[in-house]
Amino acid sequence: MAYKVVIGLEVHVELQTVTKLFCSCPNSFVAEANKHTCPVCLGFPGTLPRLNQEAVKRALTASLALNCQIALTSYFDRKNYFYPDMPKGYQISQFFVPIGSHGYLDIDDDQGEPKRVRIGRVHMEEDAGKLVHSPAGDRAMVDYNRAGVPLVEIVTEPDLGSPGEAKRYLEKLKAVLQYAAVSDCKMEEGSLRCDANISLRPAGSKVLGNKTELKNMNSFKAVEQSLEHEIKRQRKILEKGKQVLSQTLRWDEGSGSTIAMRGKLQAHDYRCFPDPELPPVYLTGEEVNKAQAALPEMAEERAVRFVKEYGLPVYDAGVLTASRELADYFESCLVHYNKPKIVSNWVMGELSALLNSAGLEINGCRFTPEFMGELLHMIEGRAISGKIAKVVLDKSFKSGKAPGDVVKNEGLMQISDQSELEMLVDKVIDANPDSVENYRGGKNKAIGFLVGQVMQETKGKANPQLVNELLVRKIGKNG
Amino acid sequence: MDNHEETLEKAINTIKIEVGDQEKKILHHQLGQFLEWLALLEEAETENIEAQQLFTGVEKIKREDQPQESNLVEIRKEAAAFENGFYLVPRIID
Amino acid sequence: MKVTEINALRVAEAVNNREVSASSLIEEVIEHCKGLDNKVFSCLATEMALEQAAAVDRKIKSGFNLPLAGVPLVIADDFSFRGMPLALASSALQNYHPPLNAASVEKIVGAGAVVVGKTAVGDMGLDTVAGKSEGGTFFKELLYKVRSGAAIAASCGCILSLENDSSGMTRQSASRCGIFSLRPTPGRVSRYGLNLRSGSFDYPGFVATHLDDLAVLLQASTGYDERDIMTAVNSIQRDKYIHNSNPKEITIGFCSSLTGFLDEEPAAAYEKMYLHCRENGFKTVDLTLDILPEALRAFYVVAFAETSSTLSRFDGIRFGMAVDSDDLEEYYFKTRRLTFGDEACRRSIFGTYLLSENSYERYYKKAINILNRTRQVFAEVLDQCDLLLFPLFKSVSPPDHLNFIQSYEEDIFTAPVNMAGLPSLAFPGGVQLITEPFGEEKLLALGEYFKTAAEETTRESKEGEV
Repeated sequence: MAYKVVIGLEVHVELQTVTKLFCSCPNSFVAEANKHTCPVCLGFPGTLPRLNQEAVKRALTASLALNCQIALTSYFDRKNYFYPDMPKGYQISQFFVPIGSHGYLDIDDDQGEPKRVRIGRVHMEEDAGKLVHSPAGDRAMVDYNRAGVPLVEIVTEPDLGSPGEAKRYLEKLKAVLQYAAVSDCKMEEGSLRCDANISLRPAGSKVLGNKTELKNMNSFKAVEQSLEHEIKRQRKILEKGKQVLSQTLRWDEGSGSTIAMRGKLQAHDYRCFPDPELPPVYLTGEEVNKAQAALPEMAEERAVRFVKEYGLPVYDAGVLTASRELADYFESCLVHYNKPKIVSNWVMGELSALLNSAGLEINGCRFTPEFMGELLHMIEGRAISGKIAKVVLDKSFKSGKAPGDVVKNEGLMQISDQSELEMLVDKVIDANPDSVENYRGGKNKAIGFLVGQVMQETKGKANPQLVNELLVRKIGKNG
Repeated sequence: MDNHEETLEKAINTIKIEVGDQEKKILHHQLGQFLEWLALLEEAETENIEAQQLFTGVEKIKREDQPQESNLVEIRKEAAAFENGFYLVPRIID
Repeated sequence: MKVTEINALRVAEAVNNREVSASSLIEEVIEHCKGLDNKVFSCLATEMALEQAAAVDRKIKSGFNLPLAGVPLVIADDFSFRGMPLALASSALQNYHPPLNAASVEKIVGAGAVVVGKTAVGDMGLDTVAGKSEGGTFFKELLYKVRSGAAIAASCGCILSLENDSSGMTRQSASRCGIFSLRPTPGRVSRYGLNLRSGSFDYPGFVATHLDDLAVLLQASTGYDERDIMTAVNSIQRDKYIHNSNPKEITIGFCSSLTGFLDEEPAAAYEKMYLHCRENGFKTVDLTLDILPEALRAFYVVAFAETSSTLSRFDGIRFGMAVDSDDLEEYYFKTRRLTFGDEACRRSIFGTYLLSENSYERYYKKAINILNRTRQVFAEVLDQCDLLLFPLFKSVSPPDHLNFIQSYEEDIFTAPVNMAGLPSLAFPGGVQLITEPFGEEKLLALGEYFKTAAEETTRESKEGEV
């Protein structure tokens, strides 16, 4: 029996504003619990919410970046439920009229064909605090630092057809929102969270199967894996002729399985109603147009520009523009060393390798665009060889010291002094008469071996072209 | 009347206030009275009524995105259970 | 000078001129308050008040002139003020000390007033403080009839008071005590620090024995407060009302059809007021306002619904007492039971029902429609007159035992006005003067004309009682 997989994703993204959505507490990470709190976000009697306009701006930008229609008048509503991480006993959200609706993101389906994923709504809401179980297990501990942080909730229609599509949607969403400077979208840090809804529909049937909700995935990969797991689980049930139970499941990374959740998630009557303490959110057509115009160049456009303006191959342009920060980094390098293809090779090659093994993203990188420029100038000016440059990059990357300093401190300057090299060349020629004979006899490859010997002597610092020239000249004299 | 009993039970469970059986009986009776009193409301004509905002124009005054500090000591001392930097509640069973 | 026999402006004058010290005045007032029925006050500030008074004296000495220098102020337990608990008549909040000050109170204190104590409110501010008549002092009698502690406290002279006038009970009570009360237009005064009973209708109301005192209170407390978005209206250009003082050019609206709802005494007072206006040369116009019974019900539907949500923050985790338990659910149920009395429970539970899926359209949405219609109706009425003279209550003395619905019915003339967001000035004798938003100054200026008539009425009825 063939089943069609039907997936919808609900993503919450933290907006990178300076303060929280309805109070002036800082919106930033802090180690101490309950530090970024005040009577307003703690829901003390007599306090009133005060909207952060910057958050509205970012929510508008996010909605536009996701191709939404914008509601020029939207409202804040209360979603009522009790949980210790919810200080007021209700969450201020946008239930009836969200700021953005009827949007979309285009991704590739599993066959590589373009597919449009519809986005039903984008709305603003405040975050809840965090619950931690105490070590003894007898109590729960609440940290309200996160309570009141501004979020946008982005809900797709059930248009995704596979775990792969879900993952690609998330990757695209992250790139788009990063590009729009709405959020840094780091799932591992919690600034992007994803819940998935999934059901299986027998091929040919018009009726959707019962859906389950998956929660607690900490990475895009986990989203993909949990969906794969759930498809298998649901298929088994359906093939037995039974019905899938509509429930909420928690993904357990350790065991690679789902666990049914109870308690909090029974059917809630949220009793949503307009919050009487907040006026409507009014946007003018002008403001919307302005925000649309200010939308930064998105990834695809930037890639096209990289090809056109810098003459880069399409592949390079694609890799470099995958994240806004990487693209920004690349273009900053060009300020210091204006040879795009060379810079591209180093960024895509050595630098990315170093970032990957260190588990860093480009914005955690100590090897600045200035350093890149310095390094590449040194190569061009033959102060160091390409090989040595890789060593210098590695050391500079790890220590944070400028390449010039690294070269100086470690004595990595390329030896290009003619007389010094001549001495070494003579030494190697004397030590390897067979190779010299081979070369004279017509085996050109032998020169490579001899160059290698000189390089060994100099621990790689000799200028290889010069060495080659000198060897050829000295040996060839007699040939 | 049975309808109201169920309604009342559901509302009590949603709003999480412990109510004894005797009190429930009284509330049950009162709910009936209250809904009867509201009957006039249901009969009122309410087609095509525009929203009349009391707040017009206030949104023009924006709150700056600038952080402010709070007196955490003063705030925290009001908690019934606050230890090691956290507010305490009974454990949560998932 | 006996502080309880004069008005606030006179007190401020005396203190500013150093005829008398704020400290000695406040001492006298505190003694006086101690003599009142202990149901009236939830807390007396004593030490704090004396310190504040001393500070005022120091300021006067260094050359400052304060508009309300040394004037005693009592605030209802609706307002948060450091140094005094926000008990809200709740078993769980007796020791809750707010980490904030109500903006309105802070501003009035900034003008030189001294907070002498807090008057009691009922269950989370939702119920009244009416007690059983025990006979004895004038005040004990008042407490039986009058439901507002703030009104009672203010009725002894220069003491000014503040209370949450959400359904109009404050204005009704002030009138019954023979004094004045003003509920300004929402947005004039900051609500920050005022415990909201529901959300849409909560607002500080002022009570005083003299009209001038209300004017000074209003001036001291008006202004933009970034913590209450509604006050941004103060920053927006508004047409400055240039009020006409010539009666011949002012139209007073009446609703003669309403007298049918009133008992003999208030009906007579209302009619007397009408005659008084004509005698003074005002133009009058008879207007109809049919929407009151529906508006009253809509008010309570919205109030209940909002209350069920607004009170959800009382969970014993960040403030207030909690009932310990191993189980989170039980913790919530028991803690909230401890926190709320009968009225808060009833409103929370019924409000939950009114907002639930099956009832939302039928009750809540309907009520919102009526709320909007009420605003429209009042706007239409005020298009036809400069001021609207309106009753305050059906009977001068409410019956002995009211069930909960009957107590809501008491608000039929005030709750709809509050719903419409209109400023209202209440006079002794059961009459209120209403006008369009931001017309408080007009009310206070023209109030002088009505004051005399109102006081005559009250004198007569008081004589009748004794």
